[in-house]
Amino acid sequence: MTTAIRPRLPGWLRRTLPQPTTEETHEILGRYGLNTVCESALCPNRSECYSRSTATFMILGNTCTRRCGFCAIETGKAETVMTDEPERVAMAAQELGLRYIVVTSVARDDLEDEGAGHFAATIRALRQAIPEGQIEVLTPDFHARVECLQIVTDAKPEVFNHNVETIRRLQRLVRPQADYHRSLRVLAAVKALDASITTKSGIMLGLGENEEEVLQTAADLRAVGCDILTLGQYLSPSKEHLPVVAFKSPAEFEALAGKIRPMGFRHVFAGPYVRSSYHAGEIFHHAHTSES
Amino acid sequence: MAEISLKSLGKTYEEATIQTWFIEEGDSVEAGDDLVELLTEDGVVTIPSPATGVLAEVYYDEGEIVSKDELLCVIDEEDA
Repeated sequence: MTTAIRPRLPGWLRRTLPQPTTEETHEILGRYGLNTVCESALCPNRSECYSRSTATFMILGNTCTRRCGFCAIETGKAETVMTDEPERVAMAAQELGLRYIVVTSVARDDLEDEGAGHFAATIRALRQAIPEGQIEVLTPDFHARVECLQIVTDAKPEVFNHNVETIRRLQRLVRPQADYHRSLRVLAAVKALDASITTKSGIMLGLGENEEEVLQTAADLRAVGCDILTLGQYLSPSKEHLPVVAFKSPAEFEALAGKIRPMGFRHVFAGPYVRSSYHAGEIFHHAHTSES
Repeated sequence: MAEISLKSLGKTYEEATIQTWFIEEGDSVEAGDDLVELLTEDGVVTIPSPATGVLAEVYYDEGEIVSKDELLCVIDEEDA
């Protein structure tokens, strides 16, 4: 038997071959012609989520107008906005039996409102189709334009999620067309527009940050009223993307979360496979029914 | 020759990213040895070798995304 010539990925990332079926969710999404960030961004949880008939809808096309170093979503010329997409999202969510619906999008810097109106229309369509549903939006930064943010907050999603993605020092490397302080302003502005909306953000670990920097980022998020924080392991989608600098163990994630929780977040969700929309409904309910 | 693709995982994956090859072309391999680990919609999974022999050819490098219809590698099987 030959020995491995390169180190394996950490054992805690390995999963046994799955059994649950995802065909039904695939079929429904395909029938309604919908994109999901789960597939477009090659999320390693998508099989688990699809098998539970949940997915994070991605509206405004499958092509992003920005190019972040960690993201597998296609980039380039933006697609035509499909005006019936909000209704199709609502119908698919209804057929999937969803009661907690997460909607994200690609960045649409080409649109006058950067896609804010389409988010609001999607929220309204979901409200009409699933009146008892709860809605979380995961948005681009809209360049922190308050007029765009207000279009979304006026539609009153339960949760407004916008990810800072990484610490301040690595922003230019990781998301060159975004900005750390701009993202903080987004979250602050949402709270100023509607304090009843739960705000949420996420950080990827493993890009070269140190613990102090992560704690500072958490503190900065808490300072703008961020309610929920997610921390997950960055996994490189391909050799064309940023390499992984370090793998953090589940124990390291939990230790970090333990240092962050006293800052006052309603909930901190941390682990190698945690992603910003992973188990979003459970996280929301946990944040609002118990201390984090 | 034993052909290895995403179908070797026993589930239909549309695509996956190769993370780590455990052996190189020309290396001997036994049935059951880990060949390659990939990042899939189920996280990191490993394909074991279905045969004993020599890893004859590897078609995709670490960090490349492969689709379900593409061969990852072939193993030149030992005669029984």
